[in-house]
Amino acid sequence: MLQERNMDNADRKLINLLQEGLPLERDPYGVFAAKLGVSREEIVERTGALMREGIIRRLGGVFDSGAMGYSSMLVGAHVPEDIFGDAARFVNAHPGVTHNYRRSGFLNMWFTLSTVCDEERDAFLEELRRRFALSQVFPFPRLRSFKLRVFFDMEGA
Amino acid sequence: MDELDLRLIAELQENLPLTVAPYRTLAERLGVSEETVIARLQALHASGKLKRIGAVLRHQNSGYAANAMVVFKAPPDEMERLGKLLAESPLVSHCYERAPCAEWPYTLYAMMHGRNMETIEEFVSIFALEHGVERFDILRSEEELKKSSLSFF
Repeated sequence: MLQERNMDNADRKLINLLQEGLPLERDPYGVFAAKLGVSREEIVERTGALMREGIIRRLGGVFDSGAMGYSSMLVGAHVPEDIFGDAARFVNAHPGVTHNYRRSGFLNMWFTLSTVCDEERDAFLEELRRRFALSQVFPFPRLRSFKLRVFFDMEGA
Repeated sequence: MDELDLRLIAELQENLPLTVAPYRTLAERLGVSEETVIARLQALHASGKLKRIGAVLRHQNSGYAANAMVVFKAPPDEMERLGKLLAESPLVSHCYERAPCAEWPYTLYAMMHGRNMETIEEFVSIFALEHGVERFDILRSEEELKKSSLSFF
């Protein structure tokens, strides 16, 4: 599933290791270096290149928002075309909105909203409805998780 | 969590410093020892707050050119079986049961990623046909309006 890029095997292995996460110990890249057979310096260099090329979006802490006290909600909305841009800017300005997509179909805006309490979420959705005269803004609470995968195997294809 | 945890979390929400000893660099920025940073990281991990320090990929650039949220109206007594089947597909990254509403009858959601949209469409139509799911919809990702990590505090 790789796009043609100047990635080699060491890059793919490195991406897999970086997705699994750095060891939380003194010399994390030393552990990777031993696995990949390249130096720490080269690992840092390759990682920087993968970030500049945009293959790695971010290298940092991945937190459990639930354990941090936040709950997230998927929201789908029908937003008329003439106000779509303004509504998107309003939604995106909320710091708890982490993902927002324009999608095909009747509900054409889908975003995830993380808040510390239900009242904050409800108030924001009410303000969105009021400000843009939207009658179709629906929260879709998660009832059960069947799969949550964030690992993309770079060596599998 | 104390002040140091909060400062450490704030640092970790940015990109990790690109140095051969990133935790030492963090320690220097925070004015504490490398051992302290590592101990704090391990404690945040043990409490479940920090899942990992790692890379998040940009799917499109990593070869998953087509992305869609696929929704099915799954019969309640079939939910478990269909959800687990979808979860087995390598095309599916996330799969949830969600509450429907009067205007939106779908209850089973799958985030799907493929080389192209045809791969996803073919999988979905075969899946729906095989399992007698009469109502479903493929919501293509037409534009990424925002994608970020949640900022805490």
